[in-house]
Amino acid sequence: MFFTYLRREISKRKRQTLLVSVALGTSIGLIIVVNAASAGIGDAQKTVLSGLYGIGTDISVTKSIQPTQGGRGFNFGPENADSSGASTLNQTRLTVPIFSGTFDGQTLKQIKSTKGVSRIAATLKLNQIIFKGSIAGTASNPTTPQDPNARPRGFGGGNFNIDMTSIEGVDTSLTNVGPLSGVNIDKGRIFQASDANSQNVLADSTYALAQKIDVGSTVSVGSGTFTVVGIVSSASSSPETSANLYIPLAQAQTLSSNPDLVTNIYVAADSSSNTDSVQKAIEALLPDSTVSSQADLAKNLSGSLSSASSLVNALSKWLSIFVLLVAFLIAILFTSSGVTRRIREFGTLKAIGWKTNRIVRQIMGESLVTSFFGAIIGLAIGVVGIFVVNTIAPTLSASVVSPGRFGGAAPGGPGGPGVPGFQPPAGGFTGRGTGFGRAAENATTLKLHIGMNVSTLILGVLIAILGGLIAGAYGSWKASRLSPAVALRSVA
Amino acid sequence: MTNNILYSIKDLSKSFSQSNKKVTALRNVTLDINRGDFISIQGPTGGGKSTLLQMLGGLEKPTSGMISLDQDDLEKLGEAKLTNVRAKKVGFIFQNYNLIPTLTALENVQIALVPLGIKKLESERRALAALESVALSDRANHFPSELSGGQQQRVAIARALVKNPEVILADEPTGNLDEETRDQIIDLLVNLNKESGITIMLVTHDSNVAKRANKNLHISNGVVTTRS
Repeated sequence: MFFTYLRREISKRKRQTLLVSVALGTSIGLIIVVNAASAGIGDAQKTVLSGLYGIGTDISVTKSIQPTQGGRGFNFGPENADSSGASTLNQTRLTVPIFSGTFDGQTLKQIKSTKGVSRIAATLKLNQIIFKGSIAGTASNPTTPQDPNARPRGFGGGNFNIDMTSIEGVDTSLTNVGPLSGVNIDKGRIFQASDANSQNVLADSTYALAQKIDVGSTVSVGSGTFTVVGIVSSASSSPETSANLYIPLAQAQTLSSNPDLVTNIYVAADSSSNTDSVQKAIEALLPDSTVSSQADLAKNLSGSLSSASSLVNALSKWLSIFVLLVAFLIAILFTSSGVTRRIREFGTLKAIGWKTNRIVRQIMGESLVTSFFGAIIGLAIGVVGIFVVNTIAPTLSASVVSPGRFGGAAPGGPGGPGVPGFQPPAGGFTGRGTGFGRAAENATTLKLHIGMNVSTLILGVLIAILGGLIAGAYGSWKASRLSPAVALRSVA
Repeated sequence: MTNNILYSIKDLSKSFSQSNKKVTALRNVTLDINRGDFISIQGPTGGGKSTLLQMLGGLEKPTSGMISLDQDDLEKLGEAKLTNVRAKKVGFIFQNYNLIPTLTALENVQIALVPLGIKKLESERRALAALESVALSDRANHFPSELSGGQQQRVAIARALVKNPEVILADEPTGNLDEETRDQIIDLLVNLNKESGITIMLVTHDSNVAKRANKNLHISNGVVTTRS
């Protein structure tokens, strides 16, 4: 009789069943779409961030320092001057970026032994700056050191070129964490453990194109000559990786005279739930360093992806709460009004000997079946909504400003001794020439694709059932308090 | 002789609170009702007729006094046991029939057997037999909205009969029916009383209906008097 009664009530009271089902279904559908969009945008963020950060990397550690006064200039001394006082020079500097601090091997060991750390990769970021050309002198301002107290009296002009390349010394045995985990091999091969002491180099595809280098070409890094064994590009839709050239870490340390030092440490936690605790442990270990997780980096996202992320994050929470409340309220009100309308029916059932719990079961059953229909409608709306979003596939742009990178708005350091009056521009040397400074901002575009997440669909069904349970429980509570005598008297 | 008494009522009183005023519906009612009696209850509106019927059916508890049905002291029983008594021993018939609109005539009769835990096939067989006894087996699959008032009341009678109760409590069962249908329904109840020996207590305003009973009670201001 339970199922017969249930079936008859559902089929004979179509309007109420339909209204409650549609209300629940619409809210469930919206929740599914918004949550799927949220997950899709989260994936998009991860894609963007992994291009900068490395897939599989949970935490990065860097250190920012104040540059020392006047220590990294080029020498335009009299030994380069000709008879007219002009200096001609071709100088290469391979240095750690001016605002980057370094970590030693002991620090690496401490991080590696931190609880929750699965693996780490360390890199040494270098900037190679080649100054090539001549700087003219003047009669009134000879470039001689005869009068060390003479004040600079102006820049006499010149013809020179500054060529800048970003280099990253990487651990060749680790390609599943750190910068190499976020690259695709366009040509050649990736590093292997056996490359650790080799003079092999990987070139960024954009850089390789600009410099017309290919697998087998040779490039100069500091005083060394390296052979290109692979051309790589970012795994994200951005073609650029975080450096122009990747060389073995040991070579980078030797060439830049930074033995046993690194600038960046990439950490993978043993589980995503441990990321926070690992981050805190490293922060405690290295209080003067910048320890950032992907979540921190996501805060530096800008562009439509960031806007969409903020919007969807806000929507997924508040819209979900709002529509759920409305849907639950509708379900409760309709169930409640149904009980009120059926007061004579329930009074009669009690009079003929139906126990209260049997009536409660009947109301709960009707409510659950209605919510089940709501779940089906919600799933349909959700699936169609996801299909529509994927068909439209809105394009999102994103740029990530990464802390601790070279460039940006920090003041440039003063020039070295040599040319009186020459001052580098405020803000240092920035620009996208050959990639120098571009690691500071990683711009990319991607099409939003939201996936059908089974757990979200199951969650939708469970929420619909919860709605049914709450509405049914309220209706049942009303019915259970019903006195049959009062119910029958009210009819009379 | 004692076994022949179905209801034993002693000093039964019932008061309600209505708009902060105490209203006494029944005052010190004392009477015995024998098995097989067909009793009509008459009296002015608000006199306490329906309240007495609800006391007899275990739907209301008295303010004071005692009422026993077949040795069950109704005033002492908890809700669960009262429900059990109603399920097994009492059949109700209402003025407005009180059928479940979404169930067929057959299913409306079957719902009276649900509390007794009777299996589906047996329940169907007994419900059909009950409908047969009120000459409505041909309308078993009709919904209440497809039946006339008289037919609906006959379904309600079948619902009351199907569990073989000790007593049928009918609250103005012919109040909404025309004379011809009224007579058919009363004939049906009289026959049930005579043939099956079921005790029937019937509240009515209609003297023609009351005449068919073998005992008549009159209730006014909560006081019950017996009329021959």
